[in-house]
Amino acid sequence: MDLDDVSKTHHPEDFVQMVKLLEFLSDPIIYPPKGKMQDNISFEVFVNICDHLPPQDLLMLSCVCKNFANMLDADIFAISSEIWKSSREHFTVFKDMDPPKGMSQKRFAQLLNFGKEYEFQIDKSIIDGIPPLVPCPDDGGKTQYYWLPHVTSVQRKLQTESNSNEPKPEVGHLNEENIERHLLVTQYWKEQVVHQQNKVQTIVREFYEKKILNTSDIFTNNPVIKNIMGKILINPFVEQDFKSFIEELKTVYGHSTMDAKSSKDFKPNRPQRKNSMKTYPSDYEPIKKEKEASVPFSKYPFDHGTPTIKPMPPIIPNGQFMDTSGSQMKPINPIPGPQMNSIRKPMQSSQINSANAPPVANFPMDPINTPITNLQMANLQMNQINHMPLVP
Amino acid sequence: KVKLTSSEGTEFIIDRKVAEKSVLLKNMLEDVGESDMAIPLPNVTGPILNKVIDYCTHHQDDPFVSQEDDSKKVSDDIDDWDAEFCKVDQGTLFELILSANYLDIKPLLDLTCKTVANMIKGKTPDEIRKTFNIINDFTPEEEEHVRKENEWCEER
Repeated sequence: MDLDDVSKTHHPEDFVQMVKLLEFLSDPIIYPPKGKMQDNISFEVFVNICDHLPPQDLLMLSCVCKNFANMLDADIFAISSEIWKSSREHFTVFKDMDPPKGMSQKRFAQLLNFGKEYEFQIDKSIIDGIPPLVPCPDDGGKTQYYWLPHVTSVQRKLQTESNSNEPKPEVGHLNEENIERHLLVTQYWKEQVVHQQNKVQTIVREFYEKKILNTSDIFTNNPVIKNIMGKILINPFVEQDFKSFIEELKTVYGHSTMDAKSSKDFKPNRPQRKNSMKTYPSDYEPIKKEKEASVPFSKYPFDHGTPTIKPMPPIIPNGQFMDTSGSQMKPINPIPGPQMNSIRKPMQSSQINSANAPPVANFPMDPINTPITNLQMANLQMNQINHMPLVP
Repeated sequence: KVKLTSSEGTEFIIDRKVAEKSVLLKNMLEDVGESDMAIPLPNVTGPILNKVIDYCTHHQDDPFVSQEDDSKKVSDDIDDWDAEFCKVDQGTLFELILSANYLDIKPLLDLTCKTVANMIKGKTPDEIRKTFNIINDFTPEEEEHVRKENEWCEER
C-alpha cells in the first residue's frame, strides 16, 4: 500500500481502515525466510550493502551466486553501473572520472584496481603529487579527463595480447576505442611538454638577462655539474604547479639582486609567446614566508634522472605512433612507476663531491640544497638556450 | 506518545520523536494525526521492534540525514554504541535490515548494511557463501565464466 494514496484527513475511521490494510498486506519479517537467502535479499538492500564495498569485493560478490551476479550486471540492471561507479569513487583515488566511451563502469573499476596484470601499483601519494589526468576534448566540445597510466596500461596489454597467439576476446572490443583515445592523449601530452618547455625557457632567460646568475661560469665549467644537469628531465606537469614554482624561485632569489622594479623594467629581447608571459609576476613582494623557502625542491616534479634509468620508451614502443616531442626535451616517464622513488631524491652535495667534483662549498647552500639546485637547473636551461634553437 | 504493536500483538509505547525516526511512521502520524489506537506493525516481530526502538531512542537527537547527503558518509566508521548494537546473530541482523527497510529508517539501514558489508570484505566467493549460507547455483561452466569475467578475484 502506498501511503501517498491515503488522503490527508484526521478521522479515526481512516486510521482503522489503514490498520486493516496494513494487517492484510503484511507478513512478519522472519529470518531465515522460507526461500534461500540469495533470493530474498531485495535489490534495494543489496545496493545499500554494495555501497560499502570496494571494487575488488564487488567482483568477489559477483562470483558468489547467480542472483548476485545478475544484480551486479549492468546489462541486466542498468542501475547497477551506479554501484560500480560509486564504489570506485568511494574506495579508489579515481574520482570524477568517466570511463572511456564504450567501457562499462564495472570494467573501468576493474582496470583501475591494477593487479599484477598491469605490472605497476599506483600509490596514492604519487597520484596526489602528480596530476595524472590528461584533458581531452571529447565529441560535442565537452572535455573529458583521462588517466594516462590507464591508457598506457591498456596499450601495453593490447601489445602483449597481440603478440601471443590467443588474444582474449574482451581485448578485441576495447581495442579501437583505446588506441584512438591513446593517440589523443599522447598528442595533448606533447603539447603540454612543448608549452612547458617554453615557459621554463622564458623564466630562465629572464634570470639570465638580469644577470642574477653571476656565478654562471662556475657552473658551466664544472663538468660534473654539467653532466648532472644534462640528465635533468622536465616533467610537463610542472605546469600544474607553475605558480608555486615561480614563488619558489622568488623565495630563493628574494634576498639577492632581484627586486620588483627590475622585473617591471624587464623587456624580453626575444620573441616570446603571449601565454608564456601570463604566469610571470609583474610585481611581487620579497619573501614573507620562511616556510616556503625551506620546501625541498624535490617537491616540484622535476626528475633528476640517473644514467641507470633507461629513458622512457615512446609511449608506444612499436613505433605505431611516432614520438615527435621537441628536440631539446628529454624523454619523460609518464608512468609513476616504482623507479620514481629513486630518481626523485633531492640532489645532495655529497653526490657531487663523491664524483671528484671541484669543491662547491663556497656556493650559497642550505641543508637541503634548494638554492643551488635551482641555480643549477636554471643554468642548465640557459646553456640549452644558448646552444639549441628556440622552439617556435 | 505513540503506541505500536508488533506482529505478536505486544504493545510498545514510545515518544513521538522516537517514532518519527521512521519515515513510515512519521508519514503515517502526519497523515492520520495522533490517535489513541496502537499502530500495528505486523511486519515486525517483538524482539526486533524492541531493538529498533533501542536504536531510535539512542539516536533520537541525531539530525535527519537526507538521501543525498548520506552517500558521502559511506566510509565513516561505526561508533562504539552502534558496533555493540550490531553484535547480533546473522538472523537478527537480516531481520533488522528488512525491518529498517520497511520502516524506512535510513541510518539504521545504512548501519546494518555496513555491518554486512564488513562481513563480506576481503573474503573469497567461497568464504562469502559459507558466511551467509548461500548456495552456489552456478554450473561448473558458468562458474568458470564468471571467474574469468571477474578476474581480479584470482589475484588476491
